[in-house]
Amino acid sequence: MSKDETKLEFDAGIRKAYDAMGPTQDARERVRVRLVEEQRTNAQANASHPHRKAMIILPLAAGIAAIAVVLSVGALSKSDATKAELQPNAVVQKNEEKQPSTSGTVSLEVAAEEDAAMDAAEAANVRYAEPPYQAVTLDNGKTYEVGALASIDPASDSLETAWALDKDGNAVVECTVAQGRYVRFADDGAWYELVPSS
Amino acid sequence: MVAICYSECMDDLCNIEDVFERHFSMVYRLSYSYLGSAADAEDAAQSVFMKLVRKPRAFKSQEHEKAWLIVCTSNHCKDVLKSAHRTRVYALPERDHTLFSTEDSSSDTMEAVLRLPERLKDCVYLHYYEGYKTAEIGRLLGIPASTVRNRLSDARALLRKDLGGATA
Repeated sequence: MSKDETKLEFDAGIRKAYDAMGPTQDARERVRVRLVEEQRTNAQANASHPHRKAMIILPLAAGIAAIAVVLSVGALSKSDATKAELQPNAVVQKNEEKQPSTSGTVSLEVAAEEDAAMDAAEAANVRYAEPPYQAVTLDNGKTYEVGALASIDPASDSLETAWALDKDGNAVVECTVAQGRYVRFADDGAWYELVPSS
Repeated sequence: MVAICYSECMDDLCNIEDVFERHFSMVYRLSYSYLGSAADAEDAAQSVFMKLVRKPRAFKSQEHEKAWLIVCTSNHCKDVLKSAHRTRVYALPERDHTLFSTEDSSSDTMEAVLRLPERLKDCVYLHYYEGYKTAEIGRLLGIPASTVRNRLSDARALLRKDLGGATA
């Protein structure tokens, strides 16, 4: 069986599995009936108690306001994190306390074996570079013996994930790429601008 | 534009029914893929649509409506799975083995799909059953397309392993 045929069979098998998870007509009707009942109940309640919403909302509003104050600190930090995700340029200035290791290899959590990196690169439709690996200089001036960054194309601004191998070619790490040249490794929240060495 | 505005107006009630007709199967299937049983899927689907009944929403388009339902369903199912009650009572979730005959190899595939980790389930469903491309899934779920590709790759690897390479 060819690779294409195997893939078609695989895909069809999954679709068939989901087909079998579909609802029965009885289940559909049961839910439909409950929804209609709920709609009618709500309509009747609103009609007979015109001030019901206000009675519920006013006490709730006070509670929510109190909770909002408590949560505001957390929300603020979260919004900062979201901003950092979306605007890598804004956080190129890194937290010096979270610099990656300078041991000569990238000290990062090993995510998978090399085959997994190749599969991932294939799935992402990007080039997977063979050894020897390039050194990559991060914008903090330190050069790491990072393996080929499989999916980094400086001309592209669409790739967002890359896989890096260490200099021994056996540690695969995942990093996030923005605008084709900013990279953030899994164990470091800061963004680095990549400057591949010649 | 599909506006869902709950009121005493019969037309608005019909709009909710339209949404139900369009998406009930999707919501149910996605719930099933998370929760692993018909009874739980039915409860989850009901809860998702109840949210629309109790808190009306206006959607910009049918795609927006569908995306909201997908995310709402995923979040609801994740909440159910996290609940202490379920953890205690449903340590071993029931499966509807009767959906397939015992000779049907699709039963193995279904079990393998149900065993996928939570984080992969919506991507797999949307790609393999709904036919969305990775970029579209990314937009629906609010995650990068590359993350979707990673998750699909992980899912394929797990399914290959689970099914012994027979069909992958």
